[in-house]
Amino acid sequence: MAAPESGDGNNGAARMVTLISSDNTRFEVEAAAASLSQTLQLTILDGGGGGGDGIPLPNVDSATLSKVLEYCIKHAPAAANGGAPNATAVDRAELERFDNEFVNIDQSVLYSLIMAAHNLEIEGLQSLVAKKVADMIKGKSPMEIRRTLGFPDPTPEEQAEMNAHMLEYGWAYE
Amino acid sequence: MAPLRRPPQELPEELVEEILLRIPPIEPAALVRASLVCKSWGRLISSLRFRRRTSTGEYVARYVPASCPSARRRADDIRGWRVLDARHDRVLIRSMVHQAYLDVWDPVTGVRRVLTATPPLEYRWNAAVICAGHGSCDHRDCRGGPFLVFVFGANDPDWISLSVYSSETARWDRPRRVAELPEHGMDVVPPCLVGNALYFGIDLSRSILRYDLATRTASVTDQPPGSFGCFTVPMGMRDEGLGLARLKGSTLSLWSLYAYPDGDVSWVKITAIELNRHLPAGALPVSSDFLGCAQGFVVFFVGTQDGLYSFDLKSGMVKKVCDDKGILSVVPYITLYTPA
Repeated sequence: MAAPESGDGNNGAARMVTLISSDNTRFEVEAAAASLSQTLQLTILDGGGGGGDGIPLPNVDSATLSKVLEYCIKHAPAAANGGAPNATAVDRAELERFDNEFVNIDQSVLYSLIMAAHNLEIEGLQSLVAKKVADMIKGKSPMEIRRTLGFPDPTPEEQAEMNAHMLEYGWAYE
Repeated sequence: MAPLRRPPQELPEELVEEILLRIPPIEPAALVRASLVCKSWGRLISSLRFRRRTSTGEYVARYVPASCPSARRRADDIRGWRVLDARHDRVLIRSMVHQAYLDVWDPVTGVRRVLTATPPLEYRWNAAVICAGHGSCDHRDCRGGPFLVFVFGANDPDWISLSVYSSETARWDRPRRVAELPEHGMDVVPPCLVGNALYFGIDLSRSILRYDLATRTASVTDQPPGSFGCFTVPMGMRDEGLGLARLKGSTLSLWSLYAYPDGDVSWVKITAIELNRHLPAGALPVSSDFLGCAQGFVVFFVGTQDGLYSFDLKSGMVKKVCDDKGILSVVPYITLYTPA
């Protein structure tokens, strides 16, 4: 990977970049961590985000961005190693433990998190949240899924269709 | 827990797809429910694109067990017929009269194709149905398309002969001798298709007949030692190799055919399960004259005193599927169908 080798911090400071959330909070973070975002990686490779300039992220609020960066910082070392090959079992177990706890959060945060992961193209994070949401909905009825995901109440037509479906596919609701 | 914040806009379809792709394959019912959340989810799950992305096909594989009313209603259509084989959204059934008639039936749409002039079959015989485009078709959208039926049987005492029916020409080709007839002929257990070959149990589970669809030649391989007289079912493994499930007493064992680089093959036992430990006491003994399995050795069906039970190897879940005791065989039928 062509990203700056800044994460090791052997001598000298790692390269830092500044990200600016939609509500104008500035986050300073190692370039290696921010580069987990495919979108940001290109800008950073072009030298963006350093110095006094920050990279504005108009679609991500500060609460969400701080959560996103928590994920990126934790995953950056493994990503710099090219992922799994060099990672020890202990490292992997630690990341897995982190991931499990990371998505064990209020559902309202999950929605903004998956949108942010999607917009910033952070594949690992998107996948992690998608899995969490899938686990949340898999045992639920269509109506419960709608409520969980904050859909508006169904129209009478949609409701009738759901009822008919439940009659036809009773086995799926056991 | 509070519901997700009311989205300022709906989740983009790509994200919904990412979420639905992560519903565990062993919970197909969850996908059925999700398809009813709203029209766009239903469309997404039925789309060819989604089915292609679920590359193993497992995400959308669904059981239509006896508890599904539409399947039961359809099953009434074939009362008095026996299911021989099911694949690629088509089910091959035979009439239970002396001169057998064969039909190919789609349990979802109810469409039934009568095969004209089934060749005279004596001794023991068996048959398989496949999509006519097998090899180039991905079988995700070939419902109702052309098919081939392969009937292996004997009309002389020394040879297994093969007759092939093509739905496109609506004709049987001339029977062709493909292998020596073993002492006990063909076994009437569901065959399997692995890669480009059909596998049939023969000679009371002593051997397996392999028919290569490309070279149109047959060969015979022994089943694992000690299988003679047991109930065995050939089955495709996840790695595209040949597997076999065997029921001996109440011990269910699973085997995989291992091919050595020099061309030799041998059976390797993957696991053995004492069904006695998993089935309720009232269900015992296991009747050893049939067994079915689906989803590459994940779910098994066994007949017992108390009816038909399914046994999920992964979760260990045991469930009574139906009360019938006079069942001849279980042919799992896995398909994707989302009502439009």
